[in-house]
Amino acid sequence: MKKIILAVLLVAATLSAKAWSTNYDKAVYLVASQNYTPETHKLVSYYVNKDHTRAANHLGWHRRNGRHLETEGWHSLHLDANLKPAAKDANDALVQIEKALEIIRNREQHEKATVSFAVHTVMNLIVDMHNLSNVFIEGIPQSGTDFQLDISQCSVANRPIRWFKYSWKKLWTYRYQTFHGNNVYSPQMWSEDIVCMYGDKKADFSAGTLQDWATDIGTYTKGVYDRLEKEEGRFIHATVQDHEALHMACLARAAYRIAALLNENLK
Amino acid sequence: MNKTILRLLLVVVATMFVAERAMAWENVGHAVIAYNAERLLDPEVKAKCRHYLKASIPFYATWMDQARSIEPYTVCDKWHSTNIDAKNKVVVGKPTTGAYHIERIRKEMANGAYKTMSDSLVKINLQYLIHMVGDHHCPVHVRWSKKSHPQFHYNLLNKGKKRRPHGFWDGSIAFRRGKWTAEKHFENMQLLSPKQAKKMQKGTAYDWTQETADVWRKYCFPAMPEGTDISKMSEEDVATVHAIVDKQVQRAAYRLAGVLTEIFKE
Repeated sequence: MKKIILAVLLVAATLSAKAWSTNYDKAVYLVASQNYTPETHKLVSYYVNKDHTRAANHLGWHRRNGRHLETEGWHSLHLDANLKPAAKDANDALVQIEKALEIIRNREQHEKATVSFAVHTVMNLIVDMHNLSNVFIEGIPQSGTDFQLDISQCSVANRPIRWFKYSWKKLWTYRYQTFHGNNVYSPQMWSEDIVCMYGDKKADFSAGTLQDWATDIGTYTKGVYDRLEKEEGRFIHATVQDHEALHMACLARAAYRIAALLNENLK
Repeated sequence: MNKTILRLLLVVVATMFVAERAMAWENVGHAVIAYNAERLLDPEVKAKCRHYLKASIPFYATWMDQARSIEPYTVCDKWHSTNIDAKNKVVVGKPTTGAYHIERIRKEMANGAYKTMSDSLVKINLQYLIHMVGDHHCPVHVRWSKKSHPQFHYNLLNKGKKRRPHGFWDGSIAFRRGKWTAEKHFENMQLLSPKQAKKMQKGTAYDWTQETADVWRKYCFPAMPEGTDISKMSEEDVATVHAIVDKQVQRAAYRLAGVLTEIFKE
């Protein structure tokens, strides 16, 4: 009995700690790797693995193995009411990315393991800060938390709407994947869609600083909370569908920004 | 006390993995057919499809299922299947059937006519075709009237509980293949020579629907008669289901690739 309860709690903990599903994470890293300079490509292969997608949810993997437990609070992004970065302590994605970049820039002075952890951290946390369920915004109490909202079931026409409770975090982590057949839709397939949809926005998405990106993410996150408020805490299926383009744009932003950051800092 | 906690935890886990409502080939089947079709296209046609869709072909595989309850797309709610008459023949020319709209769109886009359409119209037409060609190869997406074919309105069982054959066949592509990716499904598909492919791609959506109806009558219905318990199927029974469904996937993929090639190939 104890083993079953522990197993269930472990599954629940894993879900709450993850930004996106592994397939999305891997897709982001595939697109990022297509945009590395040859030098970055070589160094990421050295510090991560020849398979760059191995960086997916690296911090969570460490914690599940009892290591780096201090990273639990690193996955969220904190913004003030003007959507400017406003971390109160070290438990913030932006703070940790900046620390990791410092190590990467001065990699000659560190052990390989330290630099490797820093590269993984950047890759992991850039992804996380682009999942809008991880963004805390001052003045929006629900932001950054998990809560239940009502969403309507995909249905045939002219049937009464059937509502059901759904986790906000799951909505931005898994929901869209289910529309496409879950794991049958591979990371490679997602990566091709990211490029098809937003490849022409690569320069726009990569421009600016980490702080600009945080504000950018805050802007569209706020837009979603505003809509949720307007629709009284319910998203009909059409609204969920409307947001898939935004969800894909988040994946694309994460991918192109990882490439831009690592190209710049692994020079 | 312990049992209560266990039950509660199991409910929590079950809700974490709640399945999307079953529709058509289900999301997995549609993604597989569209993916396979895209792999069969020559680069020029694939590039044109992606240009208009601004995504891959499989990305829009399930769009019609997601959009059918959303205005202005409720009009396509009935386009997922096509009627069969009392003499087991496909009903031709009825605007509330999918085969009618596959043929309508093919005709409207043929001979370069897509170039006179707005990009958004080309896109939406592609989204319809990607889904409907798949649907019309799903054995339960032929409509049998209860009056003329009462024998086809029956129940299967799953662990003793009643289950409609529709739900079973919709999910049959992934049946006991839960971990397969689209790439794995493509490897599983038997590839044809150009001559064989051309032969398979011949005909209209009505011909293909007629063939699907015949597949249902001759193979699916006898393979899974009333009362068959899905949970107790032997390996041999499962292999029979896979043989039927793999052939339908192959037909759907080749024909979808054929339709897209016919539209875009210069």
